[in-house]
Amino acid sequence: MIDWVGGFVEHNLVVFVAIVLLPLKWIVVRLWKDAEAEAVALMSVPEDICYVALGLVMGDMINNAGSFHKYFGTSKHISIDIGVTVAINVGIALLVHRLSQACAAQFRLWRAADNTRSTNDEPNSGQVALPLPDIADNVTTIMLRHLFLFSIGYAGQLVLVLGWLHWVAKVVANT
Amino acid sequence: MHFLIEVVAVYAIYVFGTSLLIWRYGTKDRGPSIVVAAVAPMLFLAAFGKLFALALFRRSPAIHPCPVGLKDAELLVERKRQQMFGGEPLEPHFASDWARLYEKTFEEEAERVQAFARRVLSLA
Repeated sequence: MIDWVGGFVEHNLVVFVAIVLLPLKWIVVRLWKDAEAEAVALMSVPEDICYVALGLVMGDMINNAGSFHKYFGTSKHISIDIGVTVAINVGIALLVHRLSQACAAQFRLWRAADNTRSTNDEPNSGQVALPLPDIADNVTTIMLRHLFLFSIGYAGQLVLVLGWLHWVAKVVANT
Repeated sequence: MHFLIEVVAVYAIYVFGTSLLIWRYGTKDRGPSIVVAAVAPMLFLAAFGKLFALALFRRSPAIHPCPVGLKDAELLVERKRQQMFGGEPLEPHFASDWARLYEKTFEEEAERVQAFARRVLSLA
């Protein structure tokens, strides 16, 4: 039974790492009641997963009997193959970081647009309601645009990173 | 089967992450925003498919005119962003890009109509 559970977890490593990481990170940051850090923590999950994958590759690199040595066993230049794997992982990390920056900028703009809409409903003292219904509609359009771009950026990061981790986990699990 | 589990898991993680962010930081229409975020990847794929189909039949997508006041709304949102988060001021470009694109397609359409009119006149 334990063997079966262990095998299942190992074969679905990509799923379990991601499923555990996101809520765990949120709970840990939530304990400190730091609202802004929560957003940063949740948005950096794809980057974290990328470094989990890099950790798996690097950890295996120093071990001559490791999974990647076995995976590239038929090759004449195993070290170069593993080096290229690490380089690809670093490239993905750079790309995900860039995507994450763009995603965070869209998230901030979405929050600003959302806040502008709320201010229009209940203007506080010193705040002025939006003058025209036209502008309120336009703010909604802008809000939806930023929400869409943020969502696509986040989904893109997750697909990229989990696709890579899927391959790394497959190599690690097959040994 | 493994692949299906992983696709569903990636989608679930995505929905969980975006929903959590929208729920925590949204102030208005959080439910509909979560639904929009959840279907966004499907919308993106559908839009991509539509563009591909249009390109296959050598047709250009229809672009609607830019709504009146979009630029003002953009400036308002940018001001709010600066108030909330600070940082360097950003030059909003969504409305101007939209207007420029519409202008371009409008000009192309006008050229096409003119060419057609010229052809009809030459036949007459």
